[in-house]
Amino acid sequence: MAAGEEEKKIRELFKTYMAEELKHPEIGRRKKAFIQEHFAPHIPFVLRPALLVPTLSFIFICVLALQLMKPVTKPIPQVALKETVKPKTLERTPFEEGDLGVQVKQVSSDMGSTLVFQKSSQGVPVIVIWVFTGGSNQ
Amino acid sequence: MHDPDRHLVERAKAGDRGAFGKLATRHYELVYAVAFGVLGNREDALDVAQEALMKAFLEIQKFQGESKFRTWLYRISVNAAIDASRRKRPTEPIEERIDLRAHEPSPREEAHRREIRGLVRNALDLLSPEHRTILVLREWHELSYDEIAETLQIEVGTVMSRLFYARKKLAEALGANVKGEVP
Repeated sequence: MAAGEEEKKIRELFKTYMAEELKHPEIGRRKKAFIQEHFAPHIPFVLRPALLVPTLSFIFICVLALQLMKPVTKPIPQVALKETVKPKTLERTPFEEGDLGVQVKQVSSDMGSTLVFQKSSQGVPVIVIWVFTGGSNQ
Repeated sequence: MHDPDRHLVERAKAGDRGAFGKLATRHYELVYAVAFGVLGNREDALDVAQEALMKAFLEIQKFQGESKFRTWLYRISVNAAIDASRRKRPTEPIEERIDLRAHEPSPREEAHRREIRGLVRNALDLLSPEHRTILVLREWHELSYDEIAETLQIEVGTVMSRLFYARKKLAEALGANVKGEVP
């Protein structure tokens, strides 16, 4: 065999050997894993494939919940308010002695023209100041 | 000198990791082929390929653009593979080896491929890592003598003499398979 033919045959065998090796699926798998591990573009944590479905599901549930809550929190129309709610006015009523829980029949003072009386009603102190202008008895 | 990788190299040098990822995607097989051609073992070659690419990434600032990025990457890959072949254990898995003298051609294509693979691997094992490097750059990557000389930073004459020796040893080891006596 001529030297050129021999060289050609060696080249063919060598190329077959290398091509067979490079076709092995392990090469592509490791390449992908390597590139992904070291040089993949940065993806936000929640957008990574493993978390994308749970994240989208969570967002969907939130949106759904908001949609369901909407009718409950909807403000009552002003027209309905006008018809059903009447503004409440407080009317002054004359003071009655019974309001304090005591009946005042006669008030006198030996101490002087001024008497200070204090009564606690439901935890709220009520202070009454009497001023006697006409003497010690009234 | 036109370098198709120049734009990505500039971006990678500016700190764009994704740009280097594109370069790695583009040249992974090139690096792996060098590693496998020199080492002849898939697991070792995969490790060396990744080691070489990581080294290229970490040293990208040192690449001044005097040669093509590919040539620079070849150089890193060759050095990583030769270093690994020196560290490599001398023993190989027994099932990977085929006795050349006991070889009998198989009629089945798959079996034939496996035999060829074993034959070439055994023949390559007879060569030094430097001779295997020349062979893989010339016969697989089809680099010119000048490109090989530039990659390995040796004289063109050295490239030619190493290639001649590698082919001769390979022809001797492959024996009848080269002379066309087997299918």
